[in-house]
Amino acid sequence: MDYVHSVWNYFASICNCWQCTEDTGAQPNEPNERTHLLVDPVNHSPALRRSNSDGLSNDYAHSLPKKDDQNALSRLVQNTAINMINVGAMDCHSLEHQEYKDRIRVYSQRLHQQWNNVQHPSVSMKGLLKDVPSHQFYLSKPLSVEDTAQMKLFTEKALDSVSHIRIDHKEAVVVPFRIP
Amino acid sequence: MSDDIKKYFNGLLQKVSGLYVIQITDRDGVPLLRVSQEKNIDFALMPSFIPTFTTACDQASKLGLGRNKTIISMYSNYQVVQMNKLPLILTFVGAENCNTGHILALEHQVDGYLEDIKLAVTEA
Amino acid sequence: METQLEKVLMDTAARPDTVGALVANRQGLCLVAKGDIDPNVSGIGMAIAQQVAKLEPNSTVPATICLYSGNKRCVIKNDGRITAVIFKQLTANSATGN
Repeated sequence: MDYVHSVWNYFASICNCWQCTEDTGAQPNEPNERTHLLVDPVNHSPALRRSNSDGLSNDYAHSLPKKDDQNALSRLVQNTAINMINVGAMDCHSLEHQEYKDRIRVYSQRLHQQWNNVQHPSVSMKGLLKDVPSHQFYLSKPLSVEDTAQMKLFTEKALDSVSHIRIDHKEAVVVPFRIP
Repeated sequence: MSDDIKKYFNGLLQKVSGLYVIQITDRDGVPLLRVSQEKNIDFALMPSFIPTFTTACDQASKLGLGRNKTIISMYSNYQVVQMNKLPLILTFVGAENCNTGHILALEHQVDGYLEDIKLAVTEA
Repeated sequence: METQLEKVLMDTAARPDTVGALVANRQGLCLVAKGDIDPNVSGIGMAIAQQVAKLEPNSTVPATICLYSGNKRCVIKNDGRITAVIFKQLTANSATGN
């Protein structure tokens, strides 16, 4: 019973993710949390390459949708792959040395061109207290006793309470994954 | 490379004590701009360093907490702060006791410049 | 866990002349902020405190720094482990008191 329940939860969570990807798909050009930084990192993952060679997602993605439920199933597989946190995909993407060098050259050229056309916001007023009208008034101001007293009390109390910060966990901090 | 922008980022580098490197790359780790203190940090140039961040960023975005913006990595000798500024990646390398909060505060200052630098990548 | 710290912040921020307050850790990262204060100030506040500390390298007592601007002021103190930043404003009372 417990097992059935967990399977049900799993599917429910997949459907949730599915829904939220479709929601965010409303603005396709906006970068969001589902947007990939790399071109297609999922395809580089060894785990998925295996599943591709199994022919599950690939076949259905390229063949005509014969049945709706098969189509839906393959989408489910794909969406699971997209939503799954896949550490195996971490060590894959690398550029050819030549392309790397070419890109450096292109970027530096473009930056160079562009920088001549851009209005630079960097020119600003420099000088002590130029934005303050009557700086003599402020320069002669002493530090008020009240401020120091408040600060002293505040830092003492804050330091005391910072040192009292403890994590009071009610469940085990390390939880083993139930991988069969 | 234009001197003006290099000067600006060098100025930023001087402002935060213990900050060694500021580097702007594209998502594959191809550098657009890099300023550093004399102390050379070689690993930030390793070609795999930035792509690993982008994938880690991708994966971290799936935790259900929204899009991942910044990853701070603490090492025994260095700290690395990487910001996801789609299509650019902003990388800071500093001493392990460097003021992380100050590095994070630089984000708002460089945003204006990043908009211009982004054009160099997106024009492709 | 951090309720005690939050309470300290609440008490400080509740004073009529105080606009907001925050506490940062050794990394300059904001631990908690209350009132009208941007948590991003924590890093810069700590950087200012570290610069000021260089003026008196032999001093064992941490300096209290006060930055005046318009009708507000910013009070900073860094005691090595934490940095505290308080934003204060001139009230009718304190204005006559000065």
